[in-house]
Amino acid sequence: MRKGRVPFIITFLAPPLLLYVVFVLSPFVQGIQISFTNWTGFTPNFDYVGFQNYTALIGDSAWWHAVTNNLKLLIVIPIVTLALALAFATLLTRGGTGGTQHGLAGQRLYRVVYFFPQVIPVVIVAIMFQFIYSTQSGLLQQTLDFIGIDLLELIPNGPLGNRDFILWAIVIAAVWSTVGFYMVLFIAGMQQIPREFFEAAAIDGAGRVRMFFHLTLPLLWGHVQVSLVHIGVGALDMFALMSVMARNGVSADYGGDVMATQLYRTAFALNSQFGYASAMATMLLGFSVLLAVLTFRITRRERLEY
Amino acid sequence: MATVTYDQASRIYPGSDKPAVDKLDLEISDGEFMVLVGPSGCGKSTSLRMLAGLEEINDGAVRIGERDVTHLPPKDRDIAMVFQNYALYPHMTVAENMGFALKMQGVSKDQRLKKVREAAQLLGLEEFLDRKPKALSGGQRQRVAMGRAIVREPKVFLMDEPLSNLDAKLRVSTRTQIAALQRRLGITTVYVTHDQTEAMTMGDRVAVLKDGLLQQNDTPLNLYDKPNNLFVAGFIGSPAMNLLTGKVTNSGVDVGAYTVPLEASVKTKLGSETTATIGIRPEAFRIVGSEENGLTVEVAVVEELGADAYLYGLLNGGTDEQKEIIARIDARRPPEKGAKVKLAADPERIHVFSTTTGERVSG
Repeated sequence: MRKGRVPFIITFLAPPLLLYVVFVLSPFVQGIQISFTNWTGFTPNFDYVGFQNYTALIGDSAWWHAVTNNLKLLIVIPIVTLALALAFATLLTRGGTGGTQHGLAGQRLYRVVYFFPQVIPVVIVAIMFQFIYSTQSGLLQQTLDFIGIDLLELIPNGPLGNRDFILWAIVIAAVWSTVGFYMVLFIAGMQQIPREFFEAAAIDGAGRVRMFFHLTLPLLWGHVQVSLVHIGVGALDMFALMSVMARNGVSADYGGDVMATQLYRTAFALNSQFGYASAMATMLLGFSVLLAVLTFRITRRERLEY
Repeated sequence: MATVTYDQASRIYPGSDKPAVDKLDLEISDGEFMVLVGPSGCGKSTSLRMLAGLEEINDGAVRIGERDVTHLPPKDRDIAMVFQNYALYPHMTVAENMGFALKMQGVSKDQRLKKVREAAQLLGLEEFLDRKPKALSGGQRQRVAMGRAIVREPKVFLMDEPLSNLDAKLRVSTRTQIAALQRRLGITTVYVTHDQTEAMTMGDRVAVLKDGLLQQNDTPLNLYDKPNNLFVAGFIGSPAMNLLTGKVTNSGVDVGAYTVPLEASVKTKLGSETTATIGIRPEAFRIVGSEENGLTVEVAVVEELGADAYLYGLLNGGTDEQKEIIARIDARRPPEKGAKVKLAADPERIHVFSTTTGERVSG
């Protein structure tokens, strides 16, 4: 056994490692390399310009506007999504009548319904919400009409045409499409918690709310932590939704512009400043890594055994 | 402190016609240690969980003191429970675990700390107060679970097989500790176990359950001396009582060549039944001479325990031919394996049961 181990390991490790180096690692390195050049992306010639791209980027107010938007998303999307997912998961597992141990009646159906948006491609979600928000008899407008409210009076130019609203209109679509996934994740986590803990807590005098904060949440913390990183990285990206719903970030006077859309426009539209876009990408990479490290640092707790 | 009353309390699990607990009637007096015992699936845990409010009561009522708690949620019943696997909250320290109920009651932090310390002192847990449950041994966890129940000074303690996760030696020492602690605190306790030794040694009274039905409820000694029926007779006592079926004759009951004399009153009670089951505890047997009235038994094994010895033999003759017979014998003069011995018992130490109904007929 010992003799065949090295070839065995190499056989299984080499192909994925090779793919990872060629298609993931090398583009990263190349991207960082390009960020120090003035390459346009279409010419064979380019010069190294040192940190020029980065100094320009730091002084670029449009870039910081996009960063601010990402920060807003980074704060709002995880909190709203995870709070909703936790609430739904708790309802479905412990919200039923007849004690704190039973789920809501019909929870199997709800589980499927809530998970459903997750299987729809993001672009379809974006187009769907464009129809909903449409100022030409969209679902939202018609519903508001029905109760006697004029959408265009409430939100001038409609949700996707208004600089103050576009970001939040897209946040709703983002939350809607992912909340089911985290709900299912949390339900799976909750079902692993032995029911004796909840019985003991019930006898100790905890009601549903205190049971959630004193038991469910601490015991589910590992799941919440992983979800925070996953969803946070997603909030730093948001490219797909933004590129469709905010037309690559330019809609509503750049109200929905984020780092990813701006770097896409910089690389492929605005005179194709590939070097400058690579500097943006490198910074985005830095933010993502920083976010992951910070999340694990801040939320670190000891492993629980039960 | 309070009494506990089960008044015709029943529990029928959804999707089942047969009640898990069937019209349980049980009165537990203030400060009493009541043990519910029975084989698995007999409804003893369900009965306890009905009292805790963790299991719905479909019929009848449960009262704690004068208060009807049948439809109250667990938190309003003023009880504390020790679970089989302790159910200690893994993310809280020992002190936090023990103080959780008080925290839920809104007791101030100082007050909480004081009570937790008192309980910890009582159980020898002071040095572990800042540890998490995973850093404790099984015995320590068990004591924390006890401590969590003690701290809140409930009206009733409920214990669901609290010793079954301990090793044999610790179980014996812990069982006396729990019994002593309960006497000292004087809090009404309902204790569930499947181990009849635990039931006999710990309980003021023992309730034996089978198939959701209460079989007998009495002091340990009365259960041992006067079992109500064949089930209790076979369940209580270790090694178990020898139960043998014999023919009813004019002179008594014939088990093979052994004629067990019957009193006239017992005979009348048996009525027209042609068979009866007699029960003889292992220690009631003595070895008699080969010409005397007795059971002929072929010795299979002799278990020598030092103070006692138990003879395991196979019965010769009668309707229960080849049935295993257990007898306590003199440890210093054990018969040889394969030898045939004759065993007899004092008539007053023989229990007689109806073979058809299983009920006790002797006085």
